[in-house]
Amino acid sequence: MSVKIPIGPIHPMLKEPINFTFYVEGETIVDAEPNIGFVHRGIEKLAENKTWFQNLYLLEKVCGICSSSHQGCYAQGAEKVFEAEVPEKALYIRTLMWELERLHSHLLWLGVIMHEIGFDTLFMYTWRDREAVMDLVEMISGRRVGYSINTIGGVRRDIDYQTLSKALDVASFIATRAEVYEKIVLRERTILDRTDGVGILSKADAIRLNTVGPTARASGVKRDIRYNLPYAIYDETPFDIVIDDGCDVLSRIIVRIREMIISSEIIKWIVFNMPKNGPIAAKITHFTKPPENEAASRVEAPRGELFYYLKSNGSLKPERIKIRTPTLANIVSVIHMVKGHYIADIPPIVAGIDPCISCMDRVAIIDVRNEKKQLFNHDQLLRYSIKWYRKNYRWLREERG
Amino acid sequence: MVSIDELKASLGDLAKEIKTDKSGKAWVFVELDKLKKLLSLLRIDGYDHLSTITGYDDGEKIQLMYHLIKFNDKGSNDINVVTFTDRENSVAPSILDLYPSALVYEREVFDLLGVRFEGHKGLKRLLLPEDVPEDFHPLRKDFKINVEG
Amino acid sequence: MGVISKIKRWAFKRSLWVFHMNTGSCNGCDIEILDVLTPRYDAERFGIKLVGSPRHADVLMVTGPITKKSLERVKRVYEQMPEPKYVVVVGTCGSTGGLFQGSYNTLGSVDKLLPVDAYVIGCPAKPEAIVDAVAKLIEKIEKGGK
Repeated sequence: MSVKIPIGPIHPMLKEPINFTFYVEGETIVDAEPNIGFVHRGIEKLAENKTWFQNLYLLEKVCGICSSSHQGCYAQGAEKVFEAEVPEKALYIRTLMWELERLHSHLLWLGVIMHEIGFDTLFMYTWRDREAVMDLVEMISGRRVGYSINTIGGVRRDIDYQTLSKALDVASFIATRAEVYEKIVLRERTILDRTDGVGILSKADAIRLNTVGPTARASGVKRDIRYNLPYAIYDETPFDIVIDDGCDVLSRIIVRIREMIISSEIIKWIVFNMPKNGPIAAKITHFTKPPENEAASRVEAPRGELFYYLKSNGSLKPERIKIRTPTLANIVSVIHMVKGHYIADIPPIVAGIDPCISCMDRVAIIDVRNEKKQLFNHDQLLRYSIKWYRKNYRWLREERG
Repeated sequence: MVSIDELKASLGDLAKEIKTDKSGKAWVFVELDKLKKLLSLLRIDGYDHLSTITGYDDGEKIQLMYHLIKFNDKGSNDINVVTFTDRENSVAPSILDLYPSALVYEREVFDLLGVRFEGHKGLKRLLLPEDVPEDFHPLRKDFKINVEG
Repeated sequence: MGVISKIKRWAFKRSLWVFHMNTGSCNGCDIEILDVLTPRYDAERFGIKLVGSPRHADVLMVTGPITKKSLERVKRVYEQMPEPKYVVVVGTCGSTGGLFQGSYNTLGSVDKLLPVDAYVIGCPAKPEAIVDAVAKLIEKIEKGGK
């Protein structure tokens, strides 16, 4: 069977903005192409026109789900540029928020991927459990989303014993729930059919394609910025890097669930070891000018390595801010992963790298044999996948063993 | 943390200059024509993770920064390689054959700064719509935006 | 779905079918909108239901400052909605452009493109505010206003 693989835009049929184009032969995917830029707001350019402090609030809006990762990574980089000494207590509070963010993000994602494969009950449960984390975050920072706890030099708000005690309760609660979810995921036939053996990314490929985050760790790759290039207080908190050898979507689910348990342990450690007193920020104000300097800053966001590069020209506005999100880093891996799979596998594979919600808004599927193009919106694709699996699960189980 | 002397020894005279910043991280400056050779040496040495490629227009030249990580358990390290290209007729060699992840990063620098990466299969815009003018590269310093307040 | 069947549905169920669309937002407002569906806020008792196609929708709920690439899609989605239709903007960046004012890739406020019936300010907007806005919209529609 000859395989014609047209790369590049081939159909002027509809100028619909689509997020992914999949080239297929019948039901099997032979190639894929991303089409991104729907959320490109020109933030790097905007940042050059705002002050160092104004950018704290701009950059936390790069992503509403991991806002603290962005703001914290930026603050961390700015602190290198300003050559600031960040007080210990501030680093503890900053790290606490980072781990709480990991919890809420993984719970959100777990619900979303369960929804993608038609398991809505778990979507409702995880999002309900997530409310406990949102409440705690609101207690600490005053907001559910976009907590803005960071400033250049430390954090903006201190934390009291009552809140710390609540953090212990939430950490224990989520750890217990995570164990329940792990059992369900490993036992439910419907979930296993859609995720076990699906979206294989070998360890060698994960390294070669520079995959980041839980997606890489689910392929047995021991890479986590918190572990390899520790920042904030991660070199002091004892924690285990979570790795799984499964290399499939199921592994990516298990890795994130186990990371929730690890995060709960880190949170407990932070609560018990937080300095009782002390300043929460270095003495840097809106009017402090940094030296001419440049710095690279990395954090392990819930989705993977988040990278910032900052350059200062000695003025109140940065010369250049460069952001590389973990989702962008994993696009090349997704394209590799979908090849050889069925159209119905697209939702769990793409969701498996934990992209932004709007990434899967619209999908185009082009059959290379007859050049027939179909456009799916998210809902249509999900319904198609769920129906297709209901029809075909028997021979799929055999094929996947 | 790798020492400057170790780096200098392994990179020989390929690097134009090697600086370290206050946190001990190395910034390696290299001429454009020696970029790929230097990156291959680093790649062989274990710097197999490309975090991203940063493009920066300083008004006179376009700087290209390659941010790499060598993952080695607790002995991991990160390094930055810096090279320059012209503002007019900006070209640079593509490093796609060394780092497949450069596929998206080179497209982004092409899109927002107008640098053509020779050897990149399918170099086209990544973020901006295809119908913007060809010379529309908003991260260039002469491209101004007006932010009120 | 024609106008008559729509009116019949309102009269019978007093519910609004909402099509949610992200035009370039950070997802902050989007997850608060989804939160509105979860047990704590439980939007369905207020008469809000998310639908998968604009052809079934009464209300277009938009987040984001409308990036260049999403512009055509927004227009198309709005055109596909049958009359009578309403637009609710959720979040500051869709209402005024917010932090992204002046950017080369955003239109700014949604009302530069579509007629907007309700704005929910907030960055992100809180779930309570979103529910409140839709409830007020239902009131406005029942009173016959536009």
